[in-house]
Amino acid sequence: MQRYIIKRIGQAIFTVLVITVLVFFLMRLSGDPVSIMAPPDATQEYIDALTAKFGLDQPVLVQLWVFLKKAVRGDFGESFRWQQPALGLVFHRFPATMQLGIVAALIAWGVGIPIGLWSAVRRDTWFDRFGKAFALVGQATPSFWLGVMLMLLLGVRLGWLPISGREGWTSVIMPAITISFIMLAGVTRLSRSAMVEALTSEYVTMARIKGVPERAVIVIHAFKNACIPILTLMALQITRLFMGAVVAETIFSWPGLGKMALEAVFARDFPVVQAVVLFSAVLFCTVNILVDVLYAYVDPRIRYR
Amino acid sequence: MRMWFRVFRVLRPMWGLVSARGGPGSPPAKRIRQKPPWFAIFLVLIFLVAVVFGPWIIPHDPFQTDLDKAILPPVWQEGGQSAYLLGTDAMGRDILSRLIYGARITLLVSLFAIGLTGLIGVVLGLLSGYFGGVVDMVIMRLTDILLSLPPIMMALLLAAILEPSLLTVVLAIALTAWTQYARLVRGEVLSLKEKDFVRLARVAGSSNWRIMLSHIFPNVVNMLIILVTLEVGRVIILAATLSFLGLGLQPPSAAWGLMLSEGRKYITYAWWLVTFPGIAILITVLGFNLTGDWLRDVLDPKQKLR
Repeated sequence: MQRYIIKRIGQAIFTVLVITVLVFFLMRLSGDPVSIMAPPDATQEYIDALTAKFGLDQPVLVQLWVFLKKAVRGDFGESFRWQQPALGLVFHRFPATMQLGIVAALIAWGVGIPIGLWSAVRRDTWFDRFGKAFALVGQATPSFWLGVMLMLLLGVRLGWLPISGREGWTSVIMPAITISFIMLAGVTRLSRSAMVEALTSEYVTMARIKGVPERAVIVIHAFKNACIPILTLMALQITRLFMGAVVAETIFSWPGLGKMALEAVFARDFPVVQAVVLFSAVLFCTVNILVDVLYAYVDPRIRYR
Repeated sequence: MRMWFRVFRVLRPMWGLVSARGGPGSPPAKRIRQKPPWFAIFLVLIFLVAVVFGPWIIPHDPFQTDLDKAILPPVWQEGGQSAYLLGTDAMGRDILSRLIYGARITLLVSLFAIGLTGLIGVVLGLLSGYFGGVVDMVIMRLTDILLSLPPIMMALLLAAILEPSLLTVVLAIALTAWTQYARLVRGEVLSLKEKDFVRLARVAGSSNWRIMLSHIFPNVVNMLIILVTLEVGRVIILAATLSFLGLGLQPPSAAWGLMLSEGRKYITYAWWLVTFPGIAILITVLGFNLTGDWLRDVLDPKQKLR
């Protein structure tokens, strides 16, 4: 078990390193940030000074080495726009995004998994058909459209919920629903198919033959085994949360990481873009390791592969 | 002549889709019992009619601005004009015409994106599965790495480098989504390369490239078609999302995501600007998803693609 965890951590570090190098080169391929920051009437000395300040006058490989050395210490340089350490900005904005993400995940999993499981138990009834239609329409609904529609109906027309900002708990609801929709359909469909598979398996038939009460069959025998694919999807969906966050934060002016990342891209604020991408890469790798370790506890067969 | 024969060989597995004859490994009885998905066909037809006959059925020029006719509501609402069925936007452009025209853009973006994704995925998957060893290891590590970089991150990075455009959208999708294709193809190749016809080809002295392209690839096409139909919907939504965020197509394009994003400014008094483009996406994606589900049920009874 320990060896397995160490191996996974090693892989994760390698992954983050490759992404770091990739991000560095992609950023350097783009235009010159100095020409964007400097006022149009800037003198040549001013431009040279700025270039030197950000180390952009060095050879690329030297820049990469300096970048990596600093990145390890969590130093991605100062934001071109806000003149503050980029990683600090990321940490400052992260809680808002995490708050949204947690509420969204709770909504998606809290609604999707029960619907999926119950559809499997009540297979081919009206409830199953409703669940299926719900998942199909959900999958085809673009989350950004859903967000705008929510804003139109609940915010503008009915005036029940605030349409922007982060004040009071009511402002979380619409952005969180918007994000949750990216995950909802997938988790509903997978919960259903995983549960159907578990319910039609031999060990469930065996349990029924033994005379185990139906409720115990569903909860103990079937549900436990349906958990593994559902857990896998949940881990994958955490990566997808960020996509939703960018969309929902942009629509509802939520002061989070996603909105900051998008603004940084438009402003060509490289340090912030780099910090956001690497921060999320580290975050996703950590989540993946945690999930893998969780599996190994849930399913002993995985431990020794 | 030889070339046509090759094309035929590659396309042959598709024949199963239209002729309802068995592809490899599927019991013919099940195939016949499957009803055609009429609802899905209907939805996809709406989209295809808009794509094919677009220029002839649009009532107005989708780019013609007319500020006297700005923000007209749909025809059934007070103040609507019968010439503008779904109303007009802030520049006085006809919404219906722009939606119909947008279907072509949607198709174009999806074709490019899926084409490039498929190309990268199939080539790397073939190489990975066929050669194994170091090639396989490097390619598979790469897919692992890309899995921890969500598509939106790639799009953000690319948009920071390139000017946001159709190219950003296509690259952002292709550079992250190919991993799925590569894994599928690799898996298929691993089992195919042990088959007798591949061994015989090798004994007969065929080169590696020849074996990969004319013996292995045609046997993967079936799976690829199903995967593509299942993925079209996701690609359309992703592309629309990128345009919505300003990372993709730019004004005055009639891309659906962009139309929605432009309409957002007028949300307090012009509901139609943000509603109709979304419905267009919903109809199209639902149509393709339903078709994909049906194809998978019919052609992939082993449910390798779930």
